[in-house]
Amino acid sequence: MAELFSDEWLQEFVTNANAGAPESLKKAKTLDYWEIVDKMGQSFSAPMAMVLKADEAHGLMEPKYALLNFEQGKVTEAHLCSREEASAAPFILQTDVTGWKRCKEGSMDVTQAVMYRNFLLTKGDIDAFFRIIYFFVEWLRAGIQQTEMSFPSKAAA
Amino acid sequence: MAIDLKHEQAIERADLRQLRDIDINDVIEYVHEGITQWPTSLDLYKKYSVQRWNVYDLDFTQDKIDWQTKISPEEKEAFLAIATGFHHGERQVEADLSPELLASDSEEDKIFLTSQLEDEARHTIFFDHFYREVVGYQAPDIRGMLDASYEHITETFVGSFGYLAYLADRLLDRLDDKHLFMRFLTTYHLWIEGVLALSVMKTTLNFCRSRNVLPGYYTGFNATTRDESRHVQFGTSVMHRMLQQDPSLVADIHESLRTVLSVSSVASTPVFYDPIGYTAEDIKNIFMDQLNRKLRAVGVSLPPDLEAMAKNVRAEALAGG
Ligand SMILES: [Fe+2]
Ligand SMILES: [Fe+2]
Repeated sequence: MAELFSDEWLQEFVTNANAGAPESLKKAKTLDYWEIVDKMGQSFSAPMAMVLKADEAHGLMEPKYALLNFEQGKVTEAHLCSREEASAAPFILQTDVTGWKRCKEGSMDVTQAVMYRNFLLTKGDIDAFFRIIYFFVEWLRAGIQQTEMSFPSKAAA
Repeated sequence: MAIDLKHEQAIERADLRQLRDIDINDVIEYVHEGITQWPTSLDLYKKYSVQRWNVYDLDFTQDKIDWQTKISPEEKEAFLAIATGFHHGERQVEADLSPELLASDSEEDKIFLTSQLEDEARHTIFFDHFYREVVGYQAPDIRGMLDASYEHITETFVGSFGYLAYLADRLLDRLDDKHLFMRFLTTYHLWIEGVLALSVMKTTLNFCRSRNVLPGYYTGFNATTRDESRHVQFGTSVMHRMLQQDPSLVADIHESLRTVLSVSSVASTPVFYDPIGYTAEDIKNIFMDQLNRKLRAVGVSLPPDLEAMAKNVRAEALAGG
């Protein structure tokens, strides 16, 4: 099982997020909603950096960075990167271990992680981001639900 | 539908026991009576000092009996779909208000905002008690109770409330940015408090009143609505004042509305209001009325694209303001 923000994790995560919601989840929501999610996704083409905040309690002493290139709602390329490379991206989504962990365990929803700022857009136009927010929520949710992952922990560090 | 002076004064001075007998529709009218008179922030603070209520005085004993014996599963589902939006909505506006206090450049406004902060915290406690004592959820703390009720929240909630959280975060970073401040005010006071909340508040309250159930909830939420009247009057008057000084800020009002309206035209899950006596059409009509009245008060009209977006709003996307 790959650890959050490892190379292997990133490739698996992106593949699963790109694949979209599994059928079981699709059925639970209206067709209109999924249509809008698709339309929102298609309107988004830009590089976005994802940052995993340093978290001493989880043994993560330094932040981690990844750069994802979105083309019409699909990530066409993703790699772990340096702080400098991440800073240059037009959109930066800052995340924390707690948010990923709780969303994976199912004790918190992705929408809640947005409202509680576990997933926070620290750079980029927030109006543009929120006009397609359902796409990002579903993209993240599909990746989280379908990717097995382990988390940094103090014991492992 | 204006309310007469006698009613207005009764609402103005009612204590918790009296609020139990006051009609929610009158309290909602009271919100608008205040707006047209442009009270100052200190006037509103004075009102707060008189109207502040003690959440620990509410008695939910009868509510618990009603919940278990008089309310059907369908009614419970419709009721919780709306009430849970308020449970989380109150938490969000409580947690995200402080940047406004910091960004405000008027001493009087800052004083008023401390009272609003205390109101929103009390409203969060009110819902926490309702879920604990009446609905019967168990949790070790406030956050645990929020997590427990979250299953009733639908995706569309994140549109307005996530946007508010991110605006709050940006505002903390740029306290002098008047454009950002106006976007925050629009989203917080005009949209969330003035339109979303007031559009659906009366649904659960009218249900309680017509069925003669949940007196503790009715009293506390009626008191909450009266508190919201001060918040909306304050927010719209600050917006009005800022617009007088700089008319270019109207673009920020429009941009924020464009953002929240663009994510309010879809329902991820259907919400059925019928069991508590409303149709989606009713809710939409109330919504349009609330939106138009607030815009008129601030002195703003909508360009055609926003007009069209407002007409496309889905009632389900409003549940939970
Ligand atoms: Fe409130
Ligand atoms: Fe409020």
